[in-house]
Amino acid sequence: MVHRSATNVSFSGVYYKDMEALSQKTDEELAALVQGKNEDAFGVLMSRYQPKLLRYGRRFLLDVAPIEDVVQEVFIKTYQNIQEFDTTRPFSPWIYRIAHNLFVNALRSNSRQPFIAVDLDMFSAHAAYEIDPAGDEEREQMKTLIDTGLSALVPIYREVIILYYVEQLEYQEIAEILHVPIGTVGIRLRRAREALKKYVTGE
Amino acid sequence: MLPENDIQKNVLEEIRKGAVLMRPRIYFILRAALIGIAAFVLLLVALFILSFIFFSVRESGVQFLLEFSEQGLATFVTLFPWLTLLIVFALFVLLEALLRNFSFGYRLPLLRIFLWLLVVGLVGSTLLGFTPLHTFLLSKADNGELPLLGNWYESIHDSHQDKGVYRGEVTNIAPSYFTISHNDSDRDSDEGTWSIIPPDGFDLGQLSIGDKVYVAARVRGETIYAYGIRILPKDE
Repeated sequence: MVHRSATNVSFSGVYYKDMEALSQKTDEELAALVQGKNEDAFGVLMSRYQPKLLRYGRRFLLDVAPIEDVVQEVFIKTYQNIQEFDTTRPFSPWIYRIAHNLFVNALRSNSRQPFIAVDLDMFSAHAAYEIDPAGDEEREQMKTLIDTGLSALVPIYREVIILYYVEQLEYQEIAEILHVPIGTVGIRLRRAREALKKYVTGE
Repeated sequence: MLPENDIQKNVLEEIRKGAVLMRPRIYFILRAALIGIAAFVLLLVALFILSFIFFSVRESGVQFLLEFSEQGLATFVTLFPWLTLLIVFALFVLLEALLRNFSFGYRLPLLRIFLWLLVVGLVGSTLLGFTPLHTFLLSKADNGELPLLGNWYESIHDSHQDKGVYRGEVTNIAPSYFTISHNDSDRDSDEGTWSIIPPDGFDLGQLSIGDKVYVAARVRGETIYAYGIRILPKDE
């Protein structure tokens, strides 16, 4: 995913012009610079992803853990493992994957609700999964449902709803983040939507 | 809890202080290689054990029970090495978990990967069955020259008389029964001499002195009533 942002933050007194040049780069170009130990490039990446990860974490963890601390840990892990990232592939699912792992750990250690990462939908092939891009109307409808009933969903359904409707990621990206087959994403989304509607309408 | 705007500052400070270090690329290459090697070794071990199961069922004669109607099937179920098969299953589950570290491992449904492993396991262990590996190891075990796996291999020759299963050489043929004797000089637990009454309709004329037979029977008191007899080919 190519991501450009106009964010211009000076992290270490570098010239504004340099920062502007960095902010014009794609996530993958910045990641390549970070691999070469460019800390300012990492600063730009952090400013791009901090709001997204905080939003994802807040909705997913539902305040069971201090989200700012977890997101800081996500950035630390990102920096430590950046050499593992293949710069020919999209950066976004890769950093979301790190965030997913740490969020799940936080959920496991802070929540009384057990987190079950494996469900029956991971076992069988869902050849007939639907890639049905949500239209504006559906997204609008889901926004209301999410605001009302997201906390009622079990974590694996809550997460897929957040990634698709809030973070607006593609099925393929979500599959890469969760390390599940793409068909499982489709099935989980369908079940999550149904559960959400059922909860909100009180059926 | 950190204020939001301190997150980036803190992380960069930690990096500059050297408290957070970037792992070198070789670390990830070695980790992937280690996982790959571990998966390969696990697969080989699973193949070896699975082929051992086939070998032991064949070598012990337990497979003949499948030919002896429902009672034979019931005895087969009690004698099949289920625990060993469970070990293979556990190895496959472990292997699947290792493979999920690779993109091809998590992009496919778990069941499909498991089925693939099963196919690879069956084909691989069948191919391994064509080699003299297990026969060689069994003869080593019989001669007491296989310290690590010796007991495991010798268990193939365990006695199953308590389940009504006998194996031996025909030493005497009478009008209504025949006698078999077994002495393979291994662990001795399966050795002995037994007189067996054949099932109704069995033609004792089929038997000759010196024939090797596999017998499944019901034991009532001192009398052994066979419900299934298999004459083994001369080389078994």
